Amino acid sequence: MEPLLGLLLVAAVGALAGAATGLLPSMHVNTLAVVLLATVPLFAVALPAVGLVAYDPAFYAAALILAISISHTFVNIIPAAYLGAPDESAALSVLPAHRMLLRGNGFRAVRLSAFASFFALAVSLALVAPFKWLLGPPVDLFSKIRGILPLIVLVLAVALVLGEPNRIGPKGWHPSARRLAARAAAVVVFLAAGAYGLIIFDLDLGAYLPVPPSPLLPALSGLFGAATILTSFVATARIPHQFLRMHDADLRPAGAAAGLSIGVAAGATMSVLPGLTSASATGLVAAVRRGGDAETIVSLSSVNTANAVFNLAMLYLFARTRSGAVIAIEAVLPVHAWTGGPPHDLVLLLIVALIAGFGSLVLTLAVGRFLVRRLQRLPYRGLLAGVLVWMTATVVAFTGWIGLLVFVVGTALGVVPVRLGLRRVPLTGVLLVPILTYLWF
Amino acid sequence: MDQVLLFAAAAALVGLGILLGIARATEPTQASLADVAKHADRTVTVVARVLSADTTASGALRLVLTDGNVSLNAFAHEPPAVLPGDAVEATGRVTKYRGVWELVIDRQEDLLVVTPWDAEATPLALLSERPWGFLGMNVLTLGKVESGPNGEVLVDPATGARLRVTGAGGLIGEGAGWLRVGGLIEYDEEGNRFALRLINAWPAATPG
Repeated sequence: MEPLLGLLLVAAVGALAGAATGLLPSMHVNTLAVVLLATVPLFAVALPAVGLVAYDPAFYAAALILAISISHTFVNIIPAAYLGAPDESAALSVLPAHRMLLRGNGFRAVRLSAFASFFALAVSLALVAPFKWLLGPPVDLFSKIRGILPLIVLVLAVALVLGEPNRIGPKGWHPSARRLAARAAAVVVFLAAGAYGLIIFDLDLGAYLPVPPSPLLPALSGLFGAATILTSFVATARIPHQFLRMHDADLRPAGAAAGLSIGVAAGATMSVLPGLTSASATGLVAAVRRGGDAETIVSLSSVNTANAVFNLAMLYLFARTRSGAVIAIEAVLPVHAWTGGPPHDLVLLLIVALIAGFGSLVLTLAVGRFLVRRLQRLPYRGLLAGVLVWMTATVVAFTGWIGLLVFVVGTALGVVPVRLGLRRVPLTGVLLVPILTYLWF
Repeated sequence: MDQVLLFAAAAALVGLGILLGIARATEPTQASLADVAKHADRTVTVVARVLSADTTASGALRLVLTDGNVSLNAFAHEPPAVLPGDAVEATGRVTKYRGVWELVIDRQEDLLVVTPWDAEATPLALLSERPWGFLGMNVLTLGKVESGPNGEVLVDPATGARLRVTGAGGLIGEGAGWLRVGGLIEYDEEGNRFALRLINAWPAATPG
């Protein structure tokens, strides 16, 4: 089989597999990467049988893992928007996407996210070479960013909390007093979420499945997933009619460009910093972005896809593994350091990423359109209940009974800002406080 | 007053307290190096001696730990100052990397030096006189390298102790001065004698 056709096939299979994982509520691509890693020895037997012999089986395995991780970042908006059931990286996209669903623009949220991911992929691929130039010699931003990062994150965290725009309290209070009450409440929620984040990372979680348990799965599923589902369950008996015709008037080109730029920059920055994931990046972006729901979705979707590309670049530049997918790639593929021109393997992998991204864009739009039509015919509360049961089962399977407790506590905590009338952004303290602790102490 | 809010806040507070209690009660399991595989993906604490310590390009520390019989790889993201020979208490998550079990140590405070390495802990004279007593064990000792007709030999000029060294390759050479040497005591069938199969060697200060 021609080499390019082989890459096309791997990218297509990866896009399909990533779409499957992206559609499953609470399923993270790292989980699938671990499973794939265990099946790599089968590749040496299976690949020649289908004519894939142009490259080493290990390369095809790495390409498949990359394609899946890229595709996952496209499709995971669908359960987040339609069901309020995100994975770790889409947790903060739930809120604006779900609001759009309730306004009849659920498919529009999916469409925005898919195109944002694709443009972020294209921009990130184009920026890989400048990324190397910036981080390595002569600019050497790598060490400089790490030096001032603690200050940057501290400033962002303060801005996040003090930037609460809502007002709470009795109507008879002075507006400034109500705003002060809202900010004080935001501080309390942020600190409570931060304490929650510090505690959960010290827990020894069990699992019924052979994948390393992560406390972020039950925590983010509870804070942003189950809390949203419970709120929707109470407030929404059925979803309104979903429009398939697009009305893009409320998304300004400048806003979209700004969202895309911030998302790509955040995704690139998070790939450089140890201990920070795409979930962390979305938390920081949500803290600084003040646009409408459409612009917020563009930012958050861009972060995840850009982060996947730059994580791969970091592997070749500095031998850093910043995500489960890249850890799996590094485990199967010998990585040659990128010192002069880009390594041949890296170029091929980036081509696979682009092909998988295009396929994922088409898949996301098709699946999103298909599902939103059927969503309106289903009993919404029944569907939400089913998702909640699935989410609970996933939490128990991947993190055990202590993970279930984490999930329940996260759900209770996630309901608090909603009932108070605050943004849910202070809940990102679950990620930011551990980050700040890691950076400052 | 919003009763749902009160209930959620109370549930969150109680839940946080319970989680904190569980976190404090769930101390890392003490494990021996030979049993780490039984604690896959869990956090354990091991006490062992550092056989080798190499800094990676990212500034992390890749260690080989030994209890005298079994070796275990460890990877410390934010390592404190640790030298080969130090007895350490290491707390980390047991994972498999490229098919080999290793301990991943995330925080600096999870790698504690219990006893700094004592250069005289296993004198070369003792190894030379009674090598069978150390057969199959990973040991650390101090000596100088000489080349002989049958390969490299580790010597202690003060005591005259000599011990054949195998597997050195080009790692050490005559004239390298005093070395701290880590390796496995084994029976060399070819040479029909006991020998130290070299794992690693580091320059050492001349003993006082």
